[in-house]
Amino acid sequence: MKGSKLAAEALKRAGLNVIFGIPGLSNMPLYDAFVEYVTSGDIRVILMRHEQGAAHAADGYARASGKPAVCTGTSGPGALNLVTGLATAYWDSSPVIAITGQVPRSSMGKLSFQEADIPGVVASITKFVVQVRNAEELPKWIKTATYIATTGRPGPVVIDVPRDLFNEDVDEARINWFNGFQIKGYREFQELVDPIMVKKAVELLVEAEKPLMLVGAGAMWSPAVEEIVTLSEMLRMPIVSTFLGKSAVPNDYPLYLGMMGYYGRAEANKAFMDSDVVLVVGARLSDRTIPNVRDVLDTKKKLILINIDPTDIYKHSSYLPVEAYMVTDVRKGLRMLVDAIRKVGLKKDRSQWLKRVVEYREYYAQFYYRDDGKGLKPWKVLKTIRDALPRDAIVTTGVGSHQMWTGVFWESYLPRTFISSGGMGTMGFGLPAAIGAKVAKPDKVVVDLDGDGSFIMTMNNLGTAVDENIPIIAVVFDNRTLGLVRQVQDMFFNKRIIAVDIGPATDFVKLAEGFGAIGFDAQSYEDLEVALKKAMKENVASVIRVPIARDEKALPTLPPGGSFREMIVYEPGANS
Amino acid sequence: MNQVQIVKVLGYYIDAGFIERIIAGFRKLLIDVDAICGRRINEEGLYELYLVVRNHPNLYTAVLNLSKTPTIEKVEVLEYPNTPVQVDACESSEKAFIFCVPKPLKIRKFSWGVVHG
Repeated sequence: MKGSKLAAEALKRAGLNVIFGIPGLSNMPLYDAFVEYVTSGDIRVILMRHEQGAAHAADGYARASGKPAVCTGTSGPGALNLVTGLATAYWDSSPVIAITGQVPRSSMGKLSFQEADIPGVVASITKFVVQVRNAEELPKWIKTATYIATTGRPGPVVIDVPRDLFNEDVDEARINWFNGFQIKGYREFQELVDPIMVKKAVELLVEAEKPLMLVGAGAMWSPAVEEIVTLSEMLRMPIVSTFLGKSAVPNDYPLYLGMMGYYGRAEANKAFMDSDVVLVVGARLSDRTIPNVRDVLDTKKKLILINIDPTDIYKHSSYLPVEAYMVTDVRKGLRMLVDAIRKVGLKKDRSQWLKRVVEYREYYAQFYYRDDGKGLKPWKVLKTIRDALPRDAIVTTGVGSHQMWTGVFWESYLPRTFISSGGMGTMGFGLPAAIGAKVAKPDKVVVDLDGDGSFIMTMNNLGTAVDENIPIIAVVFDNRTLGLVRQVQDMFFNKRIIAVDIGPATDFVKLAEGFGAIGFDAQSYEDLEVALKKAMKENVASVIRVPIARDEKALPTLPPGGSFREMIVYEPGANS
Repeated sequence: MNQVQIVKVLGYYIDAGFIERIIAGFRKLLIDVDAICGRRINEEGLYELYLVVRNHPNLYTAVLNLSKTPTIEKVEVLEYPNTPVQVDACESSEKAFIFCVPKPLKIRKFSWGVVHG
């Protein structure tokens, strides 16, 4: 059996049956081996238009389904183009497996055609990378990659395969598929739940005057919707989320205050500031969620952490007031707390606290939901889209102002229905991630909520959506500028606007049509609703352009490095 | 506090990227490495590496990150009352390759979320 056939068979046996990528000289033997598997329907091969799109598509697939997906590129530029997508998956803990072609072993180190040291390039932006040295080991490494990518804190893994291994004949009798599989020097995190810590966490939560639950992406991966809501109701404890944790809790749950953080909802940030005890579940407390640690220290709050990754807890404990912690899966940890609190009962009247957070929500609403009738307002555009889509629709986003608007105004109701590049903030993520999500969940409506600057970076993959009959809908918030950068220049660089505005020539409707998709130009909320309904009915790849004023800000925000005490909720004198 | 720390890393060698990953763990966090030595210690491919690293506020984070890196079994921070001195013990020998590590006063061990010491 050839090494290439061995690899294809191993992928199938490992359940990795969707491959996003582009063939080239060094992974061509692998693609050749795919022919029979594609014909039999065992493997689906999707030709992307750029390898960055392949990595994002595999990432979107993984986040929508919870299962790993594969991306591939040839040696040199093909593999290097995967890099941004792999870093994106690493920062957001998404199980992506990349198989990169490499020049033959005899050509290495000679500046050979399309030679690049991929293991050296990706080592620091992936969970694990291996360069295979022996064709017989291909099944072992494919299985290993799958295991490492999906266990503990999930993350991307790269398998770099010199081309000559694909062409090597392997003695079938010597193939050791996945028998006796073990990985030395790797293990899943041990659960560490000290009953004393649980008792302390329970005491803190029942005795707190103003408790708050902060849910992160780990709560979405778990998922733990029922446990989160149960605990919130038992303790009358409001909930805020990180950006990626939005879909961990139904956003219309009355005690959910929204995303907190740098661009978070004001009432969520205010509730965080006011709280005395915060139960942090599955969140790594990044600098986007808590931009300034003084906000935690000065308010003398006490933190309780539940996280599957103990090193996160140790790191936070070195500079934050962590009073109790549980190293475990979010759902398990919350169940333990629910059971323990059920026995002791609620000891505090939380009505004043709940009244206060409701007042915050009502107060800040006056700043959000403004409409001067001049142009389309982001909040209203998002409301129109939300109303038109089914409750279980999946949305992806690009990165920029539109992403922050979705963070504040989009309502997601089910886990894995809000997919965005949080940690890396990768522009161009939205469209290819939507393609991956739609492949994973073909029966769900999948919408990419994108910005013009972000969309244009990877929109070449629209051709893939058309050719492969992957009917995603891209809604482009078209403000003809890199809005979030412009906003920072405007607000914090003395209005010295430079290198952000995009000219009027680019026509998104014609671009869509040029790729064979349907293009819509929505000039009103009614147009948008009609376009969405038509796109869903036609069930083909579609692009809906929505004009947004260039000076429309993503608010609330903070000054760079600022505290929640410096939150900017509205722009004085602005119309919106 | 000593100006340097000795960090011992135990892990399974797949290729020389094993050493790169360890060095990168410090480089990424702006920690300088003054000296490094290592060797294979069994037929299973288990290696031990000793790094003399400069004290840095990021050292704890670097050790925690290394301790959850695939192929790395364990990371130990060896603690001494005084900064160990480097000596050239091979100076008069043409044959010896001496590998010795001063005996620490205390060891803190980190391995996949389990911390001892």
